[in-house]
Amino acid sequence: MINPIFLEKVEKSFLAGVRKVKALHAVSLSVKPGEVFGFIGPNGAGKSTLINAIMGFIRPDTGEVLIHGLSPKMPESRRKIGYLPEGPRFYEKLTAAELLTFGGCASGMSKKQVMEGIDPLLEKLEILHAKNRPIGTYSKGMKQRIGLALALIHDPDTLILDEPMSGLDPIGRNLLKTIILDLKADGKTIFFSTHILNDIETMCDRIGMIHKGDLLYCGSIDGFVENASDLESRFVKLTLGEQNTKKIL
Amino acid sequence: MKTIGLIAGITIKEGMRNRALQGILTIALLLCLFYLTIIPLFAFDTGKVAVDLGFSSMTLAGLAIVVFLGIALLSRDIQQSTVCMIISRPISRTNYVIGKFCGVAVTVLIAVLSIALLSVVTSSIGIHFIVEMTPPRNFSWTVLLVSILFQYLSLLMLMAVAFFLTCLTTSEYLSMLLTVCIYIIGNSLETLIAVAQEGDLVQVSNLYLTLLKTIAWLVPNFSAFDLKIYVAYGLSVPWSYVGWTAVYGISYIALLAMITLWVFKRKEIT
Repeated sequence: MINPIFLEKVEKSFLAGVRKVKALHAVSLSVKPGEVFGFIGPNGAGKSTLINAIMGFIRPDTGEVLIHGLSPKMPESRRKIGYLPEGPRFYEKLTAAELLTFGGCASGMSKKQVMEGIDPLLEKLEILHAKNRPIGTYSKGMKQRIGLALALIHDPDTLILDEPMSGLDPIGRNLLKTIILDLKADGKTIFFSTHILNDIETMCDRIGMIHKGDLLYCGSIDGFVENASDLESRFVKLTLGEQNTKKIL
Repeated sequence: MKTIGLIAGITIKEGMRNRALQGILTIALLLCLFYLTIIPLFAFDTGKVAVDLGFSSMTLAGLAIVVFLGIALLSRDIQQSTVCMIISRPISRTNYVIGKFCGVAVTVLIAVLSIALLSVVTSSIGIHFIVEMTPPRNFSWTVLLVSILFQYLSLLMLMAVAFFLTCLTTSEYLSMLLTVCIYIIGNSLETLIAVAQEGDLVQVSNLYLTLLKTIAWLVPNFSAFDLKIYVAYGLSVPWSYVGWTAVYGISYIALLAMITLWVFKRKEIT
């Protein structure tokens, strides 16, 4: 069976003024079908860069990226993908119904299928009351929810979520957690990046940790925690190194 | 084709609901009404004045729509990563740019036709109710329609330039500034070359003239699309000129669109 997400020695650097800064150092990982994969790392570690490379928004300098066995350069590779960017932006004058109609139809659904799917999805995300309101009038949390609705409207096999919890209040986070667990039960593959380590423990089958563009760990949560007391202390230890961690803790 | 239509559809909706467009159309309506008050002040050729003023408001509004709306719709997509919402679907970047262009093109068409209709209606009202106002000599609806279409074609060329500059610079303001500059150059370059070549009192070096001619190859010649003189004086339009100018305009748009696609395909969106 083909892994929905496959990366092999992916490297990426950006120009910062006149010098090149490496954002990803030979990152290799794969996510298996039906797996929930949590991608963690401190700010600026390279999480979004990696997701952008998976989605084909940026081109890796070297290495290979495959989505469902296809290169991200091919639009067809994204047919079974649902994507939620960090801090999603939308066409503010469109209503939720119009946006979801576009999203569904662009992913190959008929207009009738999309129309049937909009109400239950918005109800599940608790924003059905705002269905016909321009998105520009939504709060930050509502925008995050409509972003998730857009990622889910075409019932994708694989979900790529960049910081899905950001901008959500505790109720919203709890709702999202429930939705992710439901999708997991349906056998969907989920790849998501987050800062919130508590969510990782309850939802993920495997995790990957990135720091300064290096994939420091990829495997089970138990293997990650090792001898540390909890996920957070292990995360801090890996991020800052043994010496600095002792100073902080 | 389906995805191009979908992108064009949401672009039209977003454009038509934009306050900038509504504001520009309101100003155009007020201008048309204002013309009715100033046209009787002219002693003769009021028909020509009405045509001139009508086309001027169409040009001004079209330019404002391309610069403030067309560029904003594309550059905000790239700057704010709204484009990710679209290209995270099974949609190629080529289809995105074409869909976006078609969407803005339809929005501009609706605006141009609305202003043209406003001009015609206000002029008709003026001719009926203001004694001093006369219709243009040998007025022809066909020539008027061709002139409006050419006005629209020149705006499409400007939009192609604007799209190219937006993809290249990603900066909304820089793109606006350069687009307006190119519009001014494209409108005046032909006259400048004619004066430099044939002006009795003008002496320019061959190097300068060659430079001007080289720029003329790169910058679109917008003045070639200005046919209002034929409407204003009731002249018949040379159809071969119309045909070749249309071919020039369409070819220019196609060529620039291909370069824009090439640039956008290589663009990294972060």
